[in-house]
This record gives sequence, structure tokens and C-alpha cells, in this order.
Amino acid sequence: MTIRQKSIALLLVIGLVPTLVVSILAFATISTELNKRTADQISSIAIKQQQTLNAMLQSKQEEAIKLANGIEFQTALGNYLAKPGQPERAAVAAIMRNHMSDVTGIKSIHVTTLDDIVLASTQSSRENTKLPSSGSADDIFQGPVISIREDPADGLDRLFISTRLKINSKDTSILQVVFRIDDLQAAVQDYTGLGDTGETMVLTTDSTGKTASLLQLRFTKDDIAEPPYSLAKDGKSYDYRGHEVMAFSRPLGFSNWIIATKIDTKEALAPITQLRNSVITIFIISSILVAVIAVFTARFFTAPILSLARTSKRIGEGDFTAFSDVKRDDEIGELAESINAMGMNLKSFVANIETQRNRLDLVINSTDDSIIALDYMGYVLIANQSTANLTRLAVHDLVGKRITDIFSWTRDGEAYKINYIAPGTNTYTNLQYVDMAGETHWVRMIVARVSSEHAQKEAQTIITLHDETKTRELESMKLDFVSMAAHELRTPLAAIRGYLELITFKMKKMPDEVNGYLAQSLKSAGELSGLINNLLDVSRIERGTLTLHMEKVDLAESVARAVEESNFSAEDKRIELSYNGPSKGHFVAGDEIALREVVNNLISNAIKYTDKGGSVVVTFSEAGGQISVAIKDTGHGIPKNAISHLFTKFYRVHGGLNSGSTGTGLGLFIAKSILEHHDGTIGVETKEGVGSTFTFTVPVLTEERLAGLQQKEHEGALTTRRHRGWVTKNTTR
Amino acid sequence: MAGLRKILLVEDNPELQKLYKLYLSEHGFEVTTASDGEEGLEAAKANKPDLIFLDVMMPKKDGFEVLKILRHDANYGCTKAKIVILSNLGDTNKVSPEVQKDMDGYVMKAEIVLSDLLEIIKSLE
Repeated sequence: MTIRQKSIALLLVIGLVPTLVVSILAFATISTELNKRTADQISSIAIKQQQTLNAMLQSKQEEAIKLANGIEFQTALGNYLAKPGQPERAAVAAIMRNHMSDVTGIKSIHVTTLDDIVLASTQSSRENTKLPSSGSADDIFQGPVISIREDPADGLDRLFISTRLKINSKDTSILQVVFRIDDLQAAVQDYTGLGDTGETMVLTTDSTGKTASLLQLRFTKDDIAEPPYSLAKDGKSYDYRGHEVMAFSRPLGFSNWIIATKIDTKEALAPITQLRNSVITIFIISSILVAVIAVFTARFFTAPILSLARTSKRIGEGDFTAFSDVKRDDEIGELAESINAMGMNLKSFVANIETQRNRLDLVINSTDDSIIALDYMGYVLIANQSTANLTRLAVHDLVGKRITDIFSWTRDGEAYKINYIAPGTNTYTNLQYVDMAGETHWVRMIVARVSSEHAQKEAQTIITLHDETKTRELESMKLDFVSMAAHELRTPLAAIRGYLELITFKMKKMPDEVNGYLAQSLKSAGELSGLINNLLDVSRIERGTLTLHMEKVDLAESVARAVEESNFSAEDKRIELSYNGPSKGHFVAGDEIALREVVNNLISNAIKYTDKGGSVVVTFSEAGGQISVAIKDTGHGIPKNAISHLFTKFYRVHGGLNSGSTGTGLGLFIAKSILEHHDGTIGVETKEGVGSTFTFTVPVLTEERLAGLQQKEHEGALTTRRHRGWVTKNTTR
Repeated sequence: MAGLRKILLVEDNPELQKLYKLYLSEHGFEVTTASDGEEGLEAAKANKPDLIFLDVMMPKKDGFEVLKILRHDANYGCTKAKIVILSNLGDTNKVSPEVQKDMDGYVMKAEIVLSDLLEIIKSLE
């Protein structure tokens, strides 16, 4: 739910709940009150009607009694009863007519026998006829009986007041005064306060309990058999012929008459229905109002927030020109200002970053080296133009690709898999890469990690590829030249040596002086041959074609023999050469000739750089699976700044040609390379003016090592090195 | 030195050719010489030597070609002759398995002394 929806819902609840409660309470209160008032009203109408009718009936009854008790009337009636002749009857009728004319509303007056036979009447035609019964004589003797009956004279309903006449102490006759009922009717038919549906009824209940209406009803003349209005109390509602009605009844003082008022509940409670409808209408209207207000209020608060959200989103998407125009002096206004400020800051920040990035782009694109940035999954994030040139792909084609899909490197002929997630410092690897055109590139790869302490996923790898192909080509040409030059030198040298040998061989009897010269020539030719061999070795090492023949070698024996062979030249220079170690029985996997060359080279170097009277000590030891041989001299020592270059080719400690010492500066380089082929090491400890100790190590022989090293031998390579220059198929040397 | 009396020396360097011929003749061998591959083949056909010293780097046909022809072409009558390769290249040169199979020996000219020639011949007898 959005804030807008939430605030609308909240406002609706706040706005509508009180309205609803108030409406329901008002409705209930008014409804109850109205109910009560309606009941009171019809009750009071019933009481008023009761009083009116009672008074009317009372006066009519009094008129009847007044007549019955009149002396004149009693006398005349006594005369008639005693002597029932016409004149006597006429006298009675005359008195009755007089009375009738005095009192309004009397239709006729009759005197009847107890059997209702008319004795005398104001209507002479009715004499000797039978009147409708006004009840049993017993009832009448209790007092006047009032009843409404059909008058046989004209068939209209009339009010009959029957009174006992006791003439001459004899109860033989009844006075029947017949009133018109217009006035009663008019009184009852006053429906004031009863609305359009209410009515007043005068009812009687006979001995069987049947209720009958005495006076004409407002809407129906039907006898009312049900419900028993006499039981309708306290304005309670009940069903009347399908209508819900509210009724109220009061007994009249005469006979067993009842006056009852009733009103249709629907009409009576119409105001309540109206009220209810009003309340509902008001509720609906106020709901709508509240809803509208809620929506507008919510808009008032949320519209600027939404606007700010849109602005933020645009800024987030990199549109730093996005600017919020929300201007308010509340918190939202502050927020808008903050967002605008943020946008502006980001703009300058990003501009700054872009400048830096452009600078960086310029830098990485202006180098000849290929620079590639990878993410932790190995996908290219950045690649420079040189990478594109190297791979013959466009920069945008490189970005997003996996590094392994772009390059397939090989190292020493085997597929090389880049380890771009390995932590740690920069690694350097020399690799070959064949581009799409099939051209082989020799590259030097530097892998640098931009590690992140927080998350591996943020880590990046920078790969720099330095294309050394051209350098290598030049280097290769140089090596070719050296190799060729050396070979070309070898043939004449072989001839020189051969002829010197031939002279020695043929001229057996020569002066010693000549023999000495010949020996010196042969020695120089041998040195020259060694020098040429060194040059060739260097070119082999550089090309990676140095071939060694690996076998089980007794290194102790080799070292001991090398020391022995050097004794002559040491003695020549008056240097004490000693060997401190076993004469045999310590084996390594290696090329015997090559290892001998290493030892010879180190010993001859030690002798060369040690002055007359000094000493050279060769120590042989075995520990921890490694054999180490130390050659310690008391020579000149090596300057500190020279140590790091010592094992590089063509490096000579004392530089120039006029330094007095000889050598090509290749010996240590070759020694180091040979030892590396044996998984060995070489190092030096030195102090200028005190001496140097060169120590090399070779792992002790194991079958696996030997097998492993032999595996590396180039197949088909024929080495004459170990056979002093020649080999034949029959040779078992 | 019973079998290997007749030697053919195929070597383009005249000094070495002369030197080896001198030395070997001195030791009683019957030496003929040739200065390039084709000459070598002709000489081999003509003389039917017991042993042939065969230089590798020569004009017209190099030693390996000559070796292959002599070893496999019966017309030259040398299929059974001992053939030793004379080389300047040493172990930098990879000698193919065919050559290894066809030859009887391999010599680094710059590495040997003259007396080695006698030892080589001796080892092949």
C-alpha cells in the first residue's frame, strides 16, 4: 500500500467512524422517542374520545331517565295501563312528543312491554309492533341499557336507551328512547392526530367474546372479529389485516363498550423512516466528502513526495539535470532541497569521475600493452585499444565477454588457464597466444588483483599483456646470429686444432721450446672452443632447447673429481684447494657432464678471483633431501650492487676489458640455468676483500624425480656432449 | 682393423678434408674425398667404401639427403656401408629418428681430437 492509500484509509476511518456513531445514536434516540410519543398521542386521543363519548351518552341517558321519572308521564302511563284506551295512549304519546321536541337528537320514543311490544309511541304507526330487543329485562332492571341497533322504522342504526318503568309498583313496561347517532358518529370520526391511516372505533364484545364495531369505521364497515382491541394496551404494535398497527383502547362507562384508537405503524413511524433515510443520506454524503477530503489531503502530502521520488529516480538513472520544483516550508520542502543539492553534487562528482575516467582511458589507451580489467567471474569490464589490436576484436566486443572466451593461452606448449581470482600480489607469466589470424604472440602477462576486503564480488583483476613477439623476434635473430657465428667459428677452429694435433703427432722429435708453443696453441684453441660452446649453450638456454640427458649421477664423485682435476691450475697459482666431503655415494638425478661443468666453472672462478696464497674450500653436504655444494674462496669478493646481476648473462663483475681477469660472463648464467633444469638453486654470500662462497643445491635422487626429469627430455635429441663429441651405434662407453 | 679399409670422406671444408685425409692415410686407410653431396654420391658409387664420413652442411645435397639415398638406394652399393655423420651443430640439432636409424655414428667436429677418429672407426668394426 502506498502512503497515499494509507493516508486515505486513515482519514476515512477518522472522518466516518464518528459520523456513523453519531448517526446511529441519534437514530436510536429519535426512534425511541418518536415511538413513545406516537403511543402517547394515540393514547391521549383514546382518552379524549372516551371522555367525549361518555359525556354524550351520559346526557342522553339522563334525558331518558328524566322522562321516565317525570310525574306527568308516569301518571299518564299509569292511566293508560289501567285503562288501555285510545285517549289514554294519546296522552302518553303527547308527553313523549313534548319531551322529544325539547331534547335534540331524539328520533323516537317508545314504551314497550317486557316483550318489546310497543304500547305507546311518538310514531303512532309503530304501536303494537315489536321493537328489536334491547336486552333482557333483568339487565334493564339493573339500570338503563344502552345499545346501538338497527331502527326497524327506516333501517338506520340508532342509539337505544332502554329504561325500566315501575308504574304502580309493577314492572311491566320499558321506556325506549331512540337517539340519532350523527353526533356520536361525528365525535368518533374526528381523526385529528391519527394521520391518514388512523381511526377511532367504538366496539362491543358480546357474551361469546366476539368484538363488533358499533359505529361506522373510517375505512371499513366490517365487523372486527380480531384482534381484540380490548387487549391492545400501551400502544404496542401488532398485525392487523396485514398491516402493522399500533392501537390503544379505553373502556367506556356504558355497557361493555370500548373505545379504541389505532394507527398504522408505518405511517406513525414515517418520520423515523425519513430520519433513517436522512441519516443514511447524510452518512453517504459525508463519506463522499470525507473521501474527497482524504484524497485531496493525501495528495497534498503525497504528490510532492511522488514528485521527489520521480526526481530521485531520474537522478538515480543518471539524469543529473533532474531538479525538483517542490517548494514548501515543511520537511518535504527540506527533502526537496536535499535532493536537489544531492543531484548537483552528484553531477559535479560524476563530472569529476568522468574527467578522471577520460584521463584513465587516455592513459590505458595510449600504452602498447593490453590492459584488461575483469570482474570476479572473469568477465571483461574494461579493455583498451591495444587489447583490441592484439585480439583483432573491437573494444566493445571484448567488454562483457569472458576472458577465457577471448584468449586461449599456452605456456610451454600446454594450455594455460588464467587464475584471476587468486589473491595476493602480482604474478608474471610468459605465455603464447595465437590470434584469429593464426599469428602467434609471445606475451608477458601480469595479473594484479584489486581486492576488496568487504566482498569477493567487488574484487577485480587487472591483466596486463606485454606483447614481446617483436622483442623475441629480435632476440631470436640475435641468437641465430650468435649461433651461426659460433658454428662458423667452429669449423676453422676444428681445423686449427686438428693441424696442431697433426704437428704434435707427426713431429715427435722437436725442441722443447716448440713443443711448449704447440701446447700453448692447443690450450688456447681449447679455450676458444670452450668459449664458443658457452655461447652456443647460452643460445640454447635462451631458445629453450638446452638438452640434458638425465640419469643417476654420483654427485659426490663428480665434485671430488672436479676438485682433483683443478688441483693443477690451483697449484699453478699457489692457491690451496681442498675438498671437504665424501668421494662417492651421493646420488642425484641429472646430467653428469652438465653438473661437472657447473662445478668446474665455480672452482675455476674461485681460483681465478683469488690471489696467490689464498685458499679455495669445496664442501659437500647432504641434509633434508638436498645436496649442497659450497665453494668458498678468499678472493676479492663481489660488490653488493653486482650481486643481483651476477647470474645474468654477459655480466662481468669488474666490467671492462682491461680489468685483468678473463671470462665471458656466461659461466654463472649457464650454471644457474643448468641447476634450474635439475630443480636446483644457486646463491652467493660475499664480502668485498674477504671472499665469496657460492653454494648450489640439487635434490637427492628419487626414482620419481628421475622418471619425471627423463620425461622432459626431448625425444630424438642426440647428445654428444656426454661422449666428448662423438657417438656411434656400437659405442657402449 | 679388418673390415673398414676404404673410407670416403665427404666434407666441403677443404682444410678439414685435407686434415682428416692426411691423418687417416697416415694410419693406413684408403681415403677418397668428395666436396659436396652429389660428388659424395658419385664417389660412393664408384668406390664402394666400407665407411663414409658424411658432413651435414654441404652444397648441392646435404648430408642427411645423401645418407638417405645411400642407405636405401642399392644402385650406389652402399646400403651396408658404415656411415658416420660429421656435424657442426651438435645436440642443438634434433636428429630425426630416420636419420638415427640410418646412420652408424655422429661426430661433433669441433669437439673431437684427431685420435678420436681412430676410436670411432674401431668402435664400428
